[in-house]
Formats: sequence, C-alpha cells, structure tokens
Amino acid sequence: MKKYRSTLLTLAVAGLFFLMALACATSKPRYSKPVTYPCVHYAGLTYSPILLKINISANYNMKDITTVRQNDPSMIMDALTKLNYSYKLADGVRPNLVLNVTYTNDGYDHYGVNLYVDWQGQANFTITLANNYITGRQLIDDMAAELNRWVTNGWHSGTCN
Amino acid sequence: MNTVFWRMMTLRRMNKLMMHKMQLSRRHKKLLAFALLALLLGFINYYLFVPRLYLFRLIPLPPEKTYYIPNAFIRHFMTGYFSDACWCTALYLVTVILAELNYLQITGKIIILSLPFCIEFAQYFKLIPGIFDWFDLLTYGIILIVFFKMFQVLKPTRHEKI
Repeated sequence: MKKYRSTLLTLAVAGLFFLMALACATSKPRYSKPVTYPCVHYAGLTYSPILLKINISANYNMKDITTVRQNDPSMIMDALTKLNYSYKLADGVRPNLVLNVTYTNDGYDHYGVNLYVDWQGQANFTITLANNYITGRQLIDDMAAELNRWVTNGWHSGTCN
Repeated sequence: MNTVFWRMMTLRRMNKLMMHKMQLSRRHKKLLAFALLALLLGFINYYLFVPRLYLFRLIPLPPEKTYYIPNAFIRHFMTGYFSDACWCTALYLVTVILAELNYLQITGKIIILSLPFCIEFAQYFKLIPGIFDWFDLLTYGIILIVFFKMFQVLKPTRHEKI
C-alpha cells in the first residue's frame, strides 16, 4: 500500500510539474558563435508605386497603442510622399515593403524608433534612430527621410568591407 | 448495484483516511505556501515579460502587454531564467514536504529531483517543445545543491532495516 501510494504521488507530482514545463515552453535564444553572412547589394527600388504595409508596436508600455496604430500610418505616409510620390499603402494586394515600426523610449520620455523593413520576403534592413526625440512628428519625419534614402539608393546585407 | 455502492463507500472511507493522514503541520503548510508563491511569481513574471507561451493560449486572461526591462542583464535573467528557477524551487519544496511526510521512496525522490534535468535534456533531443540551455541546467544544479544543504531529507539514502 505504501509503495503504491509513493509511486502514485511521485507520478502525480512529476506529471503535474512536467505539464507546467510543457505549457511554459518558450523559444529562448541559445548561445552560439556569431555567423558572418556574405555581402549582398540590393539596388534601389525604381518602380512605382512602391506599396507599403505598416505594422506599429512599441518596446514599452504605450498608453494608447490602438490610437497610435490608427493615426501613425497616415503620418508616416504623409512624410514619405513629401519625399517621393511613389509610396502608397497596399490595399488588397501584396506589399513591396513591410515596415515594422517599433517605437522605443529610454524611460524619460525620449523617443526613438527601430524600423525593420522587409522587401517581399527576399531581403531586409533595419534602421535605428536613438532615443533623442521629444516629438513624434520629428521622429517620423527623420525615419521617413532615412527610409527613403535606403529605398532610393539601395542597401546591402551581410558583412561588406 | 450493491457492489458498486460498497465499492464507493470503501473509496470514500479510504479518501477520508488519506485526508486525515495528509494533515499538514505548520512547517509543511509554510513550505507549501512558499511553493505556491514561487509558482505564482513565475507565472506573473511570464505574464508580464514573456506572454507568448502555450500557457496563455489555454488560460483566458486579459490581452497581454509585454513590459520591457531596460537593463539587458536583468531582462535576460527575468525572461530566461527567473520563472524556471521558481518552477524548480516549487517542485523541490513539494518534494521536501512529501519526503518529510514519508510519502516518497528513494526512487520517487530521484525521479522528482532529476525531473528538471530530464526535461532540459528532452528539449535538447527535441522530444518536447522548448530550447535546451546550459544555464538552465546550471540554475537547477544550484537550486538542488541549496536544497540538499537545507533539507537533509532529500538526500537519497537507503535506510537499513534493523
């Protein structure tokens, strides 16, 4: 009886904690040697229209992310179309560029942005503006100018000398 | 019908007897409370900082907001190891209670104490979801050593019958 009870309790505890471990499985980054990718150059986009899809997030607890997601795409598009008329928001078609905009905050209400741009799943680049901004408008204007420079002149991936 | 009734009655009596025997001392209640607290802390930590888990697909909680810790070391520790350490601590506290109440035999102790390590190796061999991490093993090892030092009852010694 005692052995049976012991086995039962062992299995119950081990099973319960095993289920907890399964439920909490995460994709944790593993330590590995840094990989050096070959240098690949991508020419600027010369076609028109350049269709965009904009995803907005923040790396801090933003007060009203829903409103920002409603308003900021049009502000970004305004800033971009001032520089180049080719930019348009994709509506019902596959976008040429997917802009993943992540607003950053240093904890003292100085803002920055991390912009990850995906070009039709074939290539990508990242633009980072440090947390040196106090107004969203200036941040968006500078981000749009930087993005337009990359899109017009082209970019490269990997380690280039 | 009669047999079923008597079986049920026997089961109820056994259950009552078990509950009576399982009455926990104040110390064991404290240990159990610490175990639950450790699990709760691990859960809250995951909810705040790593909400994209299978667990939160199962539990209907308000939509998660991922909080960001500016310090890289603390962020790495909280998102990668804190909840694992809490889970392991809770497991070992429950083991201490069961071992002190004499509900665990040597095999049971070994199975439960080695469970975190087994899960980590199962992740290494892709038997279960999750990522193997040497630092997880190190964390579990440290916790196990601390528990061995604090609770003699966990040491898997076989008592000879006199």
